Amino acid sequence: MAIRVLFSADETGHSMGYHTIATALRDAGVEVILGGTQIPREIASTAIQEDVNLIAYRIMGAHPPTLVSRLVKVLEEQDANNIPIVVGGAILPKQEGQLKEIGVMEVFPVGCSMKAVVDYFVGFSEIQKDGSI
Amino acid sequence: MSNKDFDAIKEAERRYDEEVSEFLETHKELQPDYRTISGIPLKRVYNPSDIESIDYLKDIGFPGQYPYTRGFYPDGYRTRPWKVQPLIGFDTCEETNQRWHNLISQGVTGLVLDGFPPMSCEGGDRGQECYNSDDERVEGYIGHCGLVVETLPDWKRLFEGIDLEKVNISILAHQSVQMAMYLALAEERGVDKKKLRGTHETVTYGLSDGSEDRREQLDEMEYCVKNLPRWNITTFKGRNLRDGGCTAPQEIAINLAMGIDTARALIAEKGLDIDEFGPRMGFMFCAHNEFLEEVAKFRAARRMWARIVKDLFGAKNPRSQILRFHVQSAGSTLTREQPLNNVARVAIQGLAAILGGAQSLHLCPMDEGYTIPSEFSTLVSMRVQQLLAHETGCMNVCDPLGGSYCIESLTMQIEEEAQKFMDEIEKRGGECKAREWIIGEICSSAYKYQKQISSKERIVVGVNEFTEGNYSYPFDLRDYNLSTAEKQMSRLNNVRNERDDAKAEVMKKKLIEAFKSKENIMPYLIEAARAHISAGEIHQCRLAAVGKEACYSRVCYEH
Repeated sequence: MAIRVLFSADETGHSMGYHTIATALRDAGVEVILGGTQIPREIASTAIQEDVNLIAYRIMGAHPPTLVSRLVKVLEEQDANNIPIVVGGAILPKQEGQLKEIGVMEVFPVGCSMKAVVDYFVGFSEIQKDGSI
Repeated sequence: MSNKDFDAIKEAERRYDEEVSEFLETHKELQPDYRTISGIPLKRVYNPSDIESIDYLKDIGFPGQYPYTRGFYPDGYRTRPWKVQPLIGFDTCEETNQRWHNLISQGVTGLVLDGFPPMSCEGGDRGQECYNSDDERVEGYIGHCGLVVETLPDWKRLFEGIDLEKVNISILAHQSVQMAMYLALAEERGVDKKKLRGTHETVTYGLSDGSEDRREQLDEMEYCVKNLPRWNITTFKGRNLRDGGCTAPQEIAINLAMGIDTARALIAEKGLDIDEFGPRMGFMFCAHNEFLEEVAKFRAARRMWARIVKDLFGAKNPRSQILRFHVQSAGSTLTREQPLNNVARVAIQGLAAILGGAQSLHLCPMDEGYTIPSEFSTLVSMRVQQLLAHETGCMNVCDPLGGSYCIESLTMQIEEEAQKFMDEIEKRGGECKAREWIIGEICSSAYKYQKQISSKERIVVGVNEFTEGNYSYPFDLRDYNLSTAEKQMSRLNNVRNERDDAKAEVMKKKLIEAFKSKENIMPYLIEAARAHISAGEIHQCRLAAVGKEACYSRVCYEH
């Protein structure tokens, strides 16, 4: 069965990547739920409501560690911190480590290839099928 | 040239084509098909017969003459070089003011304010929405993507030491409250509004489909037409949609369609004459990678707009027919890999903008792929512009590529493609009503372009080819300043504590009534700004009067 991914974004602008990746993932058979622009509290509630396997959070305009820390905290408060988070966007090299420490599973900074992102999500689906996550 | 001459040229071209076919029996061209980034087919070589249908005087003419294909100033950049306008806005008003002063001392001739009231995830594209800097929704956003200004004291601090009568300012945020704050500042300083020069975006993209949002867009333009004769009432930023993946002809079509929609509304709903506001509408275009296509694009856009304004709206003032535009290079073409290559990329993009006749220019700094550019990278990109201006000689001749068989052909082809797209928009009732369809078209163009990069059909140096020796950015990158939010919140608190509460409450009530009325909203917004009501509080009054849905466009571009 295909995994369900929530695609959320920090702002309406700079969304070429958000839309192209969403389209590419759908082409690859991943079920993508477009959450649009949401603040962390809203992302958490959509993720729980939609019962997604993964949250993909695209951040271009705001400060990634601040937003992601908040998201992790809200998920914890709602006992939903088992939902893995993947972050993409304008992430500084030094923030990649920071984000992983906060609990992010993978980071895709601006400029990474569409193929790398698609392979990652498809790979994640495979692992899900095995039941190893 | 006579028909006989063209016949001889066509005959020669036929012989040439045969020779090439023969040559290609033993040689292989690098690509199976030659097209521009926007998909426009390219010939191997162009000759006079390709532009046989062009009437020089009617379609090209001289600079400063209709249809302005060669530019609108009779002597191009010789008396009036383009304005170097780097885009600045970060942290609070104090830091941006400091950076402005540094830039002015380094020869910057126009300021661009990338400054917003505090915004959340609804972001820069969502109508009038904004918050106070201490709202839950703005955590992580303050001062990152643009500077935060939310009260008149912030604006005063931002423009400290800057003469409003001398500066030409481009205010990028679209909210009407931003313009109101600037006007309130001018009033407080006793500056004659008639002397203010610059522009405010006013519309997010085209006119909004949210009723209050649209009303304020039109009110602001009307107010500026009537009170600020030197002010440009709007900037249509089709540019961002290009950076978001649309093609060059689509960029022209969407931009001009936004202009048409807005002009129609100003005429029908505000009773204005095209020649009152026509000379005050501005556009923003992108400068992408494909040099020839970009030069042709600017020329085509100018010609099309002149004809639209003259034929469709019956403008008599030549200044109304002029398409004035600012160019910002395509940030999306800059790479994280081998980032110094970006300096070369923007230099070529900048050259295309200049040879295409831009009025002002911002070149994206080399660290744009990482974060908000640093002071150093901004300086480098500004130096590229100064180098183009003073070392290359590119501004000494008007429209130097005009008359090239290739450039004239491409100008014509792009015009045809743009016209087709505009006709589709028109069929759907104009830009605002067609927006949902347009967004779909942009997304499919963007996806196509990314797939070309993935499949290496399109080479990006350092990304999908020539990746040996990739290195990351060797200089300091600007990091988010965590103290900015706190600093801004305390600025806001000070303003709230120092103002007269009773007066502020009276003002808020008055404002709510004004939002409910049909009167022009601008004088009320200015009055509220002068009473030190914050942008977020003004928006709360708006919400109380008209509700959330009316305040932003339901369908909006996400550049």
